[in-house]
Order: sequence, then structure tokens, then C-alpha cells
Amino acid sequence: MRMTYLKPAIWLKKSLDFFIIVFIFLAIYIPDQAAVLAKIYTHDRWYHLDSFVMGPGWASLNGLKAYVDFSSQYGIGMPFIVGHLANLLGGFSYENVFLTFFVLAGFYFTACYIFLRVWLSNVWLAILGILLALKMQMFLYDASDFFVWKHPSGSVVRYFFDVGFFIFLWLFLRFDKKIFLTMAAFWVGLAVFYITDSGVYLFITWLSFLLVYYGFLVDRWYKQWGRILIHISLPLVVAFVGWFFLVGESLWQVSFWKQMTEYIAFITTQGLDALPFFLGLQEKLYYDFILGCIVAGAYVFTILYLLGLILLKKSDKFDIVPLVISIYGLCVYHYFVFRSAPQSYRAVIIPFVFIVCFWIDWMSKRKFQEQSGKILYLLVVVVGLVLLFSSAFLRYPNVFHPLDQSFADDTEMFLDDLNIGQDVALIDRWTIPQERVTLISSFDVALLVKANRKPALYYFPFLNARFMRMKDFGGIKVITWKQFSNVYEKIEKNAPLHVFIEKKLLLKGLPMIYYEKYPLLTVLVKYMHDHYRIVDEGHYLVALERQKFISP
Amino acid sequence: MNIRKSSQVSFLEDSRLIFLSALSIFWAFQLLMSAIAVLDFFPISFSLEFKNNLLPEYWGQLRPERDLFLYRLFVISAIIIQVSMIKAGSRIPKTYFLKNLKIFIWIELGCCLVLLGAWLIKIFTGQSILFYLSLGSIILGKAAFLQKENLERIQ
Repeated sequence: MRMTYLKPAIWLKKSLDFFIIVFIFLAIYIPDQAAVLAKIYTHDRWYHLDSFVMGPGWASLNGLKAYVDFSSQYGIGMPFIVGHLANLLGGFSYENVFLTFFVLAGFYFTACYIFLRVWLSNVWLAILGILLALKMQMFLYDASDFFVWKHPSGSVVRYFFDVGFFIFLWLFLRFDKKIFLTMAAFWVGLAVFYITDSGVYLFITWLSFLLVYYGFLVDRWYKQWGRILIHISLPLVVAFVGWFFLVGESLWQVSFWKQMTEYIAFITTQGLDALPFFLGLQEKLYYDFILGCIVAGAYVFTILYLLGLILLKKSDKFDIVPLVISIYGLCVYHYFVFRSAPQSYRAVIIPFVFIVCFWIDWMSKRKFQEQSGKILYLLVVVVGLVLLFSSAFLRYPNVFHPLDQSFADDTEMFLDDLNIGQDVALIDRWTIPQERVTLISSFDVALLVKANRKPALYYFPFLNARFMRMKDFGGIKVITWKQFSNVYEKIEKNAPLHVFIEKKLLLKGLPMIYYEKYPLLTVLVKYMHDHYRIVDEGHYLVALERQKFISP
Repeated sequence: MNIRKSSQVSFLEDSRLIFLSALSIFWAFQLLMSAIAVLDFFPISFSLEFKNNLLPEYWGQLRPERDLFLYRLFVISAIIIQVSMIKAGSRIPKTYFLKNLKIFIWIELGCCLVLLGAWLIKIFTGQSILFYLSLGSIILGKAAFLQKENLERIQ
């Protein structure tokens, strides 16, 4: 049964489709990326941006291997893909990586709209869904922390492949063509290759789909065991082929897998970086806590209801779509359960938006058939107004809103602090293009990208960034002594001829308390003093050369 | 592909499923609260070996917790309860089931709200006594109810 209300003419539907897709791109796109970069710089010194993609992306673009030559917190494929896309858009730079994010996010939300359109067959519901998705995913934060791009790991770039998977599932159910099922399996493989955690969640969802589909909806499933086996293994094959393409023989080494899973093991088994689920309550952010609970509750309720329909043999084959979306929602919700920063449910909210649309559709068909048209109109208007007049949207510098004064202030501070021209020239003088450079600086990523040099240190970025001009140090980006000893041994083994380090670190420019609090800093500085001598200097950096009388 | 034929779901069945799903969630929530209460007596500890390997500046970020376990417990128990009730419920007349289910839902919702309130007090004030008392009363109340039902059935 399909809705009988609100059936706009074909031309109106097409116009609305066009308008919404244009609106999505215009809402996301920021014309002045440099100003936004400056804003993010002053907020968190590109800490999350560098870790998410800039460091791994640059290393990957230069042919280095993830988990062999450099660490990557977010998998193997994403840095490679984003790095290459940014390169295609005019060269790898912070601005072009941003541009890549906008393009990916634009396509993602467009795919969400298309999915809602075809799945629920209602243009108004699809519009409601996309407005809700934009509001909750991109424009949820208040003015104090409003840029989704400050934490790109919480943006849809991380979950880029999920909506495509749902589209393929729907196509398969709609047209009953096996090619779509194979495409869905292939797509899951790409997701696993792209980012490990979100990919694994999608793979679990895929297995759940196969279980429900073949277990409950298909007669004599056992006669198709060959196909089932292919569907189970295809995603893994795709992911492994992708990884092999990037890391080659290293894929068969134990150390590769250890490095890949090390951080995940730290956080899941040891509780490193964990935040209690009731943190929102403690911080008196009740709205966020309640909404966070509602999200999980909605997934569980949907699963229970649809599972009931399936068990009672009362289900429609399309009922498997919201069931699969809810299973996926529960999987990605792990992120919020573990890292329960009050608003971090925003990062995993898209499946919830789909489920909300599903229940609105359900209610309009079964309970409120008469009033559903008016209610839906009203909801579209209300959600649209909430989005357009929310603080986060009004301050987001897209084409609808000019930059405010705070951007000019931040840009001034940024240009003043990250004045690295002389340091790039210093690296340029002492190394050759594409050489692997050992650089110990808060802005090693920005410096090496500008200087067109590869990183030599495994952890890239190597330091928790602090402002260059401030006498401040945030620690090394290694978590354990073992990780540090690996870095140290590698420096000793490779004995690089030149090392670049911030003056303030080497020449005891920091207050003494830093050298006491961060013993690794003392160890590194001592090593540099013992084995190297200063040969040149830039604005923030000094160039060190290995002393000849010390055998490597 | 041979998709199994399904019949149209009736309003009665639909309503029954909605109530059953809500009931499963309420019971899973009560189970979750019970698990929290029991696990309170087994303080979680971190691996000393791991802590010693961790750099001192990260010690503050070491916060072992059971949230993931409790989350999975809630989800899986809700699913198991739902499946069990549907399997068992198919033997009970549908109208009877729906009528009694409504009353039952309100009672269970009340139990959940009491537990939730006590848990919130525990979170905000650190006072666990009310939480344990509420949980104990609910468990005893349910046991007494079951006992009464059994006695009536025997008589």
C-alpha cells in the first residue's frame, strides 16, 4: 500500500528534486576554505584534521604504506582515496582536502535523498528526511563548537559507503535482480577497505541481512549455499584486494595486523579514552542524553517490531530495509556508547533519520491516514525553519551566510602563528624533494606538505599540536612506552643525516615543568644534543646534522 | 528467488506486536538495571601491565567501563525476550492477549520509571541504596505475583 495523499505533479516532483540537491551542495559548500581552516586552527590547531586525513593522506599519496611506514587511526583506504581526490582537485592541500570533503558530503546527502525518495516513494517525506539529516548531522552543534569539519571523523565522510549499500539492497528487493545483491556485497567490501570500523559495522549488517533474508524470507535457502558463500566472502575479498594493492606483501605480516588493531584493542579492552554513557547527565546536557537514548531505543524497537512481523510471517519483503538500517544503526551506535561525549551521537545519526522517516510513513499509512498530509507538510516546514534558523546553520559560512568578524580575527592569528615560509625553505635547503624527512614539530604535516617531503616518523603527526609561538608542548602522539621505543629505535637504526626540530623544544625554550611532565621530550632532546649539531635555522625550526664521529 | 508468501498484517496483530515490542524493551531495561546492580559489587579494574606500558600523561584517560557489555546485553536480551514471547504468544488467544497486555505494559512501564528514577539519583548523588531497594522491591513484587498466579492455577 502506498500513500494516497500529497501526490505532486511530475514537474513539481522533478523541480523539488533538483532544488533539494542544489540546496544540499550549497548548504555544505564553503567558498572561503582558508578562513574556515584558520578558524579550526585557532580552535584545535588542526589536531583532528591532521590525524584523520592530512597526515595519513599525504603519506599515502606519496606511496608510503599504512601500518608499515605510517600509522592511520581511520583505516587504509580513506586516506588514500581522499588524498588522491584532493590531488585531482588541484594538488594535495588543506583547502583541497576540504573541497573533497564538501564533494563527498554533497554526494552522500544526495544519495540519502535518493534513497528516501525511492524507498518511501514520497517526495515530502524525503525532503523532511534530508532536512532532518542535515540538521542533526551537520548543524547540530551550537556556536561554541559549530564546525562539523573540525572533527571530520564525525562527519559523513567516515560513513560514506553506507547509504550506497542501502540503495543496492532496495534495488535488489525492488527488481529482484541478483546483480544488485552482488553490488551490495562489493560495496560492503569497499566500506571495509575504506575505514576499518565503519566498514566492519556494515559487514556485520550485511551478514545480518543475509541471515534474515535467507533464513526467514527465502524458501529452501540451502539450495543456494554456493551463492550465500560468495555473498559472505565477496566483501572480504574486495577489502583484501584493496589493502594488498596499497600495502603489498606487508598484508601477510603479523606486525601489520598488530599495528592495525592496536589502538582498537586499547580502547575496547582497556578503556583508553572511554567516556561514561551518563556523561551527558553529569554535564547537565539532558536534551543530548535523552536524544542519545531515544536513538538506541528507536533502533531496538524497530528491530523488535519487524522481527515480530517476520516471525509471524506477516512481513513484506521491503520490511527488511528498515530492519537492516536499524541493525546498522545499533552497530555504529557503539561509537557513542564507548565515546559518550554528550553530542557525539550526531556522528552516527543518519540511520536514525531513516528510521524516523520509516515510522512517519508507517503511521501515515496505518493510523493517521486522513491527517497525514497536513502533518507532513507541517513537519517539513517546522524542520526546515529549525534548520535554517539554527545557530549552527546561521554561522556556517556557506553561500547563504557571509563570514563574520570572528573569521577575520582567527585568520589574523593563524597567519601570525603559522608563519612557516622560512621553515619550509629550510627543509628545502637541506633535503631533496620526496626525501623522507625526520621532523619534530607541532605542524609537521603542514610543513612537509608545503615542502613536498615524505614523513620519516611512523606517527604522523608526531606531536599533539600546540601553537608555534606559544611556549607550550602537548606531548608526543604515542601512547605507550613500547611505541616510543619503536620510534626511538627506528631513529637510531636509520640515523637520518638531517633532523628538523622546533627551536623551543631543543633549546629548552619551554618552562622546565614540561621536561619533567613529558620524559619522552627530555629523552628526544638529549638524543638530538648527543648525536646532532645545529647547522641552520629557520623561523621556528632548526636543522640538525648528524655528527660524523658517531657511527650510525 | 522464491520469496515466501506473507499475509497482510491485521490491526489487532499490529497493535499486539507494538505492545510486545514495548514490553520486551521494558523487560530488557529491567534486566539491564539488574545487571548494573550486580556488577556494582564487582569493581572493574584495569590491567596493571597495560597501565605500566602506558605513558604517564595518558593515565588520566584510562577509564575502563562496562558500557559496551551492558549495551549489547540490553539489545540481545530485548531480542531474545521478543522472540520468546512471539513463540509463546502464538498459543494464546489474540484478543485475550491484547487485553491483558495493555495492563501489563503500564505496570512494567511503572517499574522501569521507578528504576530509572532510582538510577538517576544514584548517578547524581552517588547514593545507591534507593536503587537497590527499588530493584529488590520490584523483584520481590514480581516473585509474589508469580507465586499468586501459580497458587490460583493450582486451586
